[in-house]
Amino acid sequence: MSTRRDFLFSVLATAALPGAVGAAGFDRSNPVRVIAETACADARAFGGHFSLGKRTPSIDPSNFLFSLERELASERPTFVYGLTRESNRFLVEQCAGAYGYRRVYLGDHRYRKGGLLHCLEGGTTALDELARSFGRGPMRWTGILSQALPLLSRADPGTQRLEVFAATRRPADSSGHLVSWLLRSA
Amino acid sequence: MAAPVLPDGIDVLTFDAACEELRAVVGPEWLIRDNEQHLGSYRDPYSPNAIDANAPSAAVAPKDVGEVQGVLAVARKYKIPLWTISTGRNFGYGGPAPRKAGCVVLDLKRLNRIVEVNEKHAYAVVEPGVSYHELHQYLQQRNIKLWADPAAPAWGGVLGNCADRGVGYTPYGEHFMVQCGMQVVLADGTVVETGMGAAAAATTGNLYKYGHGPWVDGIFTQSNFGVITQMGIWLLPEPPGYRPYMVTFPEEDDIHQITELIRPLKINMLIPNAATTVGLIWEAAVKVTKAQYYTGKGVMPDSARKKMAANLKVGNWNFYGALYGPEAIMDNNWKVIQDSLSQVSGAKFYFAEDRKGDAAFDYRAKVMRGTPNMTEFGLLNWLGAGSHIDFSPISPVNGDSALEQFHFMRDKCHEFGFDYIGEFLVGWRDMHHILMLVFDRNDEEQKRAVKALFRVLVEEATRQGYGEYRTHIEYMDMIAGTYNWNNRALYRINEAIKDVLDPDGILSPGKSGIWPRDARKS
Repeated sequence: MSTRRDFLFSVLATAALPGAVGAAGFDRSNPVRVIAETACADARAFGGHFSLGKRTPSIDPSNFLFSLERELASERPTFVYGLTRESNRFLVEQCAGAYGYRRVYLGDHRYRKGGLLHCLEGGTTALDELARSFGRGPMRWTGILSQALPLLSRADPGTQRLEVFAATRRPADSSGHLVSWLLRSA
Repeated sequence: MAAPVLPDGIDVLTFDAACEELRAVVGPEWLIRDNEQHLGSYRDPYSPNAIDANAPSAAVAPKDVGEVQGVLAVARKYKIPLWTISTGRNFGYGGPAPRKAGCVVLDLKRLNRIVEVNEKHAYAVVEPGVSYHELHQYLQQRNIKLWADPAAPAWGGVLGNCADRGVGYTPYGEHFMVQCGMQVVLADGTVVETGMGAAAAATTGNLYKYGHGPWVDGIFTQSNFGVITQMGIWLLPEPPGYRPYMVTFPEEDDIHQITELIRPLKINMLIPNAATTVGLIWEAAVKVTKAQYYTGKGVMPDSARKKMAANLKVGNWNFYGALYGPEAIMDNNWKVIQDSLSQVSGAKFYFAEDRKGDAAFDYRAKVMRGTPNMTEFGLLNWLGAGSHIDFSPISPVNGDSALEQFHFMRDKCHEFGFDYIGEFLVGWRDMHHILMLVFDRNDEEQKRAVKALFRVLVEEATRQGYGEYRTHIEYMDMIAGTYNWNNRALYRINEAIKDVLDPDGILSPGKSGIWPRDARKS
């Protein structure tokens, strides 16, 4: 049986937060589970904002995944928020979907020549603000994302897709592509 | 608001009434309907079609055989088609989504008991909701020295994978070969125990497969003739030693010689497990993305492939096998294997200590010793928003066939703008050639192209004499159509059995191209 230690030292780092993450104005009664890939600098930086720290990356996400599944079933956090590789988003979303979680935001972040292309899907108001922040600089995009949870989790009547390109340097160990996502419990 | 999805020929009021009765059988929380929140998880997330193309009308999750019988009674009464799933994680072949939109998903996840593990006789009896991960954990926690052979993903169902004739990587990798005994609920509610289990005081139902008279277990695999609610599966006793190895080969056309050399090693059981010859990109994509080596459009050029292979110290083909047994036996077998495969120019040999931190080696080493894991999903990062459908023709274990299949599949992939991502899984007398067609699900052009490519592959493989062993829901009719010898004699038998065992056509219509009588007429 995988242990809590296995869980923490798996390929993804996670933290259970009681609500107040990143910025003011977030409803503290909404517990959040934050998940960050440890395999590349951008995701580690995102995780660092949530005090996830640097974990020893392992290769196989199964220990992490099955522990997460048990926690979703028993603790029912309102939100699950992450910055991961696409394959791990898929795994988490499939697990969470079985417990009634539904994606309310997806960001696709892909390095191109000279910068990073953000393709965003989610609430209209939230994305307008997030896109402005990405385009504005100089704050690193992972920092912006780490503070965007209150914004992204707010109920938003409209939805939209938009793209924003921001000049930035690609870290040496980048996979070139990450996704950010927010799942909400039914 | 979109109109609710309904089964064919069923109006809303009738469906309401049926759902009320289903609720009464399973309890209100286990009948899900008109609720995107939950029904969304019964779509095929890898579909090359629109996500709603195979949308179910509802899902129902019974907890035991009695409730399964109750669900079937309601389905018969209202002529509601059901689509049976176990864990529903068969991604690449359709996942939990029904073949036809409007079916009610019969989700067996709550039948999740490990009914028995018999250490002395080395078998387990499981219900459909038991995953490889759960069975592995059960064995580990109790220090039971038996291995269950897993499919690549740990969350796959032990029973469901076997019923779909899936394969794994240990010496027990041919899953249906190590199946022994089934409990099946027929469409009319009758519960059947197969093989020796049919004897009134059976004690050998999971030890001897066949019993007396015709052996029927096979007709419940890849089919829609009944609902399997229990299955016996033999487990592999943990060997005294285990040594996984990898051999890399530099050239694409080495697949001919590799295959010729592996055949006698495999048939004579010097290689006892379901070993694999893995193509370059399949091997690399667990660790790196395409964008790290090539940011242009279309197929990865040779120069980038060569650079990637050199960086990762892998070959154009990478053979994985394992030695099992006492040290002396492993040493002897290794000498024979190494002598044989050394005949391929440029072959390089690796053990675990040579590949520390290598995700691909770690993954293979785990599955060849029965440790389920989820590493292979990393492959889908190759393209970013990667999805896949798999084309899986069977090949003889001979060089000419392997080379012929590889050439035409690679060339067709390239013609349609896709990288060749394939492996040959070497079985007892055959090879499963698995071609993973990875596409970007956000790219409509790629989705169209992958569907067109799949059709071309089927046509060409059929012309060359290679049939598929398993396929995505979208292509079940197409593949069934290739099993057409003597005026579809085989499928006429399938249809005759279907009509007798399920005259109302309520069980998984269209599974493997087998449709109920009324649907065939229309």
